[in-house]
Amino acid sequence: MDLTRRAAIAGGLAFSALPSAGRADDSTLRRVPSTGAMMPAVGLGSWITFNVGTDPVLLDSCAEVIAAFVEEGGGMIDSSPMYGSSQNTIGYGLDKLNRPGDVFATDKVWTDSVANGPDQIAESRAEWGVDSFDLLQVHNLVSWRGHLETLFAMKDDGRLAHVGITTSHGRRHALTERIMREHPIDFVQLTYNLADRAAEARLLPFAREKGIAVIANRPYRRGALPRRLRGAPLPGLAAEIGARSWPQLLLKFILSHPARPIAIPATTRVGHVRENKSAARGPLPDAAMRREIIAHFENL
Amino acid sequence: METWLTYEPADFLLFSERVYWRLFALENAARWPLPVLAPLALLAALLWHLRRPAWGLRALAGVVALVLLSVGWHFVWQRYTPVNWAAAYAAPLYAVQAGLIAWSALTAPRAGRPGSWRAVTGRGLIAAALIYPLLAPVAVRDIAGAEVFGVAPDPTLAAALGVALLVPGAWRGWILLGIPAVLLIASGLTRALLAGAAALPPLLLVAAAVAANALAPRHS
Ligand SMILES: NC(=O)c1ccc[n+]([C@@H]2O[C@H](COP(=O)([O-])OP(=O)(O)OC[C@H]3O[C@@H](n4cnc5c(N)ncnc54)[C@H](OP(=O)(O)O)[C@@H]3O)[C@@H](O)[C@H]2O)c1
Repeated sequence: MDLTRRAAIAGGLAFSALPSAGRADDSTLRRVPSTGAMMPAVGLGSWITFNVGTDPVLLDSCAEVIAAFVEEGGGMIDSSPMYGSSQNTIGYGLDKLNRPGDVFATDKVWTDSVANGPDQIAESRAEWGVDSFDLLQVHNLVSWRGHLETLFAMKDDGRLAHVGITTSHGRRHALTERIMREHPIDFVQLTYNLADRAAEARLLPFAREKGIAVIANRPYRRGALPRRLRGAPLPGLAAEIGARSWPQLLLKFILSHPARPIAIPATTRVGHVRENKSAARGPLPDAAMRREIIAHFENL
Repeated sequence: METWLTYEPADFLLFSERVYWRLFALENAARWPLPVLAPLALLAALLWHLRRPAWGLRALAGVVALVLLSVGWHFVWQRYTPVNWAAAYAAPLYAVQAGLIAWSALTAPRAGRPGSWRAVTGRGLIAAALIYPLLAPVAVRDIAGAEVFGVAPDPTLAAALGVALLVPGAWRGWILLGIPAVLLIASGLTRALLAGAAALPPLLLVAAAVAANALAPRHS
């Protein structure tokens, strides 16, 4: 964790332990344009899946998911104070792994009260068991002006590596775009998947133009897409790009957008983490293939 | 407004069904032997009430008030709040309800008319609290995770509804029904999002209690 944080704060190469670190064109990696920090293209969400309270069996099973994630290269783990006990679960999992270096600790500030923001961030840090976060985002733009001031001040003091904002479900894109234009944020998190492509119209190209890193949340529409597509035929091109399943194709579609998003699927299963991680390996669809995937999906 | 329209009910769920049902199994194990003792105490108080309505009602109120405090603290605050932060607002209501029940049992002049529909429904709700654990096998869930009076909220609140109907005076009844009804409706809505049909028991309990109190003659 410390290694990652120091590297990220220095704007250097996080994940330098990874064999392929530093190659920005590597499909498995993503570079944060504003700081140069590098991380794997597939991260890990924690909404619902890691909210297991004090259940010792489920805490251990989430720790196994985190262990598999780290084993497969690690990267961004995204959480929020809104997600029940998920932050605590992540802290538990990281403890069990003796605090691996290759996790990009990503959390949010989520409170109406700007004055409470710093206390909430301190609580989140304690739950994760980290000294500082690699990225803090204003969750769903709640009291965004005040929280952004707090986060930028933390970044200026060297207590935070990156600042971001989040939205989801295609909500409040106009405001998101305004903030992207007017404030020097490092990351924007939004919903992007094969079925929810509203961000293609404006936010994704704008992020690319402005040099803002993109995080794609709800890559599987909270699991609804893999459920709906189970048993449906894959398009012929799936084999060409090494997608053996719909979940992998769904992720490859997201990762291949020219804005080079980081996808953060959440899961309770070790097998799914491995499947998700492997989606970034091998070729990604080009523009023509992307159009073909959309057409195939829409005709199902 | 435009933003709110994009929310679906499921967006308000913070946890999965798997996590939810396991809470009860963990609590039963942690509070053992309470899952046996609390229902036995309630049964004894109910039988006493059938023989000596006034003293039996005080015993029922005492048992229910005590376990409300215990469920509010152990289950709702310590076990449920970590997965559902909204439960933090519910936990103090258990203590308030315990206080209201103790107050009504101490200040009620006598037991209600034992043969009235209101009282019969009240006893029926207490019996429902006792047999509530059977819902687990009916729903093909593990019996270890059965919801038991004195340990889990819903059967405990069912007994609280029952006591509300045994206390004389419909207006007292309304005061005593408010909190358990709201908490059971919240439980029903949570279950509707998690598992559909599991919403029915808590909602039916509230419907029965509200109907019995509403239809009761003024002084029953
Ligand atoms: N406003 C915001 O800031 C915001 C909003 C929404 C989401 N997010 C973030 O984005 C993350 C991802 O979104 P999400 O959790 O809503 O939904 P998601 O990642 O689209 O879907 C999660 C579901 O997909 C299933 N899944 C995962 N991998 C799979 C695979 N390989 N095959 C089949 N099913 C698979 C999981 O089930 P299994 O457990 O069975 O694998 C899980 O139920 C969140 O966890 C959160 O961190 C942020």
